[in-house]
Amino acid sequence: MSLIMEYIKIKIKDYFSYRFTLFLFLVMDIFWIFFSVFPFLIIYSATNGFPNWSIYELFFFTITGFFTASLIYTFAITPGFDIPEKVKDGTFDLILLKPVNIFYHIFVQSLNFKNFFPDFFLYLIILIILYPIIGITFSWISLLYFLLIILISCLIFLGISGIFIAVSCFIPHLDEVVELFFSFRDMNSKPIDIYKNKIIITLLTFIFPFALWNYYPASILMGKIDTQVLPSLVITAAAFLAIGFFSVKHGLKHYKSAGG
Amino acid sequence: MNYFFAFIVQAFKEATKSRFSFFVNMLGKIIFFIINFYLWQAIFGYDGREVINGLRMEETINYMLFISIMNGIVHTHIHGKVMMDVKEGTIATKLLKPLDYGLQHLAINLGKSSFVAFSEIIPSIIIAAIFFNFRLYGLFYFLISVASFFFSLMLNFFIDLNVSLVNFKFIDTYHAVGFIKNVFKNIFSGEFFPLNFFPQVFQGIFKFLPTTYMIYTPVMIYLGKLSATDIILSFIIQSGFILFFYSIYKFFYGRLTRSFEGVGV
Repeated sequence: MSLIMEYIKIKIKDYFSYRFTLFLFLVMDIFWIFFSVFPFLIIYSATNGFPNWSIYELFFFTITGFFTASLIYTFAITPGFDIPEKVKDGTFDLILLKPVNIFYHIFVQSLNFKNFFPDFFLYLIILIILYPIIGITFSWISLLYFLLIILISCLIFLGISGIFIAVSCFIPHLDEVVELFFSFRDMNSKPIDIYKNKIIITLLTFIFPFALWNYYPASILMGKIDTQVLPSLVITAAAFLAIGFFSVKHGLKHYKSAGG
Repeated sequence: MNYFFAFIVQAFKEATKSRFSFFVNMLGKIIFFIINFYLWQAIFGYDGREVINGLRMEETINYMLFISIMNGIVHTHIHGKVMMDVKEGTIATKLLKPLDYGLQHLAINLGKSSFVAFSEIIPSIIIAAIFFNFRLYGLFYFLISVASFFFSLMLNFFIDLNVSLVNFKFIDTYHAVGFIKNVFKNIFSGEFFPLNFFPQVFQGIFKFLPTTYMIYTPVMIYLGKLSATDIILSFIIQSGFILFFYSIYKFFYGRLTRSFEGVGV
């Protein structure tokens, strides 16, 4: 644990040594937020908008998605991008040679704070500002559920990361498979309740679970969905983690070190 | 001219190699179809009006479906290509070729877009027609609209080419400049939603923006919303903008290559 903390300290120090870059990232993030909510503003100015979603609720939904994404990209999904690249260029062997637990090593060396500073704090501030505007009465229990769903989505994507790593041991050029999987993320840029189709909603909750980035945490905090969904999400997280863990083990057995 | 066609053919052949990209692109289109099919049904259903800012629900959905069907044609990677050429020094070999640097890339882009047109348009029209009630508003309008999209490709290409010249001086700005350019283009070309949805004050401004003629105008032709005079006028304006951006490119490109130090070489 102390090794992880030491590693995190070094990485954070590294990021803060380039303050102007951090400032540029902040400007880009603000611009990105504006760009993401601008289409909603135009649609709401011309129509009544989305059923059961006020414009501020939609902002909250969007920022929740960015907030969760900043955590997922920092702690969960990066190994799924990094390791397949290392398998492809042959540098994965260097990781396997180290006398450290392979899962521990993969996790620690893939921590990516580029998506944490300043994104996480910026989105957190915006969520705190928006919270009273959307008119929800504060409750510790709904905040707890909100955080729990974000944790669940991090665990699910850690499992997915494992699946990517395992597949890369069989198919070295994984880029397009990953792109194919992430295509489904676009479907969650709007609340999934607009789809009015149970198959699509189930697909986006349990198979391509991007709805856990924004729809479920935001909706549970706003009281739009019931807490009955939580057990099934916990089971999904456990299933993805188990599949990820065992597929990495299986993939490593078949790893042929055939990269560059 | 022979060299130009040779580049087109070569790019077309190369595009046929990446078969998996076809599946990724098709899946991307289907996802876009699903989003817009349900999204606009929800918006129109909740609003209650049959016509919003001149478009019916079915027309708005078809507007969005048609964008997805044709989008691959307009797409260009020139900004990234110029950045890589400058950064890695491969521009040196490209400057030796018997064709202008920008035209080389235009030919490659045309070759790739032609492959996309051949491989993706018909399957995506069939999928959209079967599952999402996509329909043509007349074969004439459809064909004219496809022609207009090829003009859009050139317009989009020369806009991007001009922006990419920034790489010659400031290579580290690639991501920031590309991001701002894409945001501006996506919103003001009508790719996210029809420009009719913008407040009235914007409508006058859009007539003078080149981005309007990249997506919005060709799709309005497909919907049969433009008169014959407006269609002819739109082609003239597209051509005017293409010439305008090409002239700007020639002006700056000459000066930039003279002062180019070839760091990557």
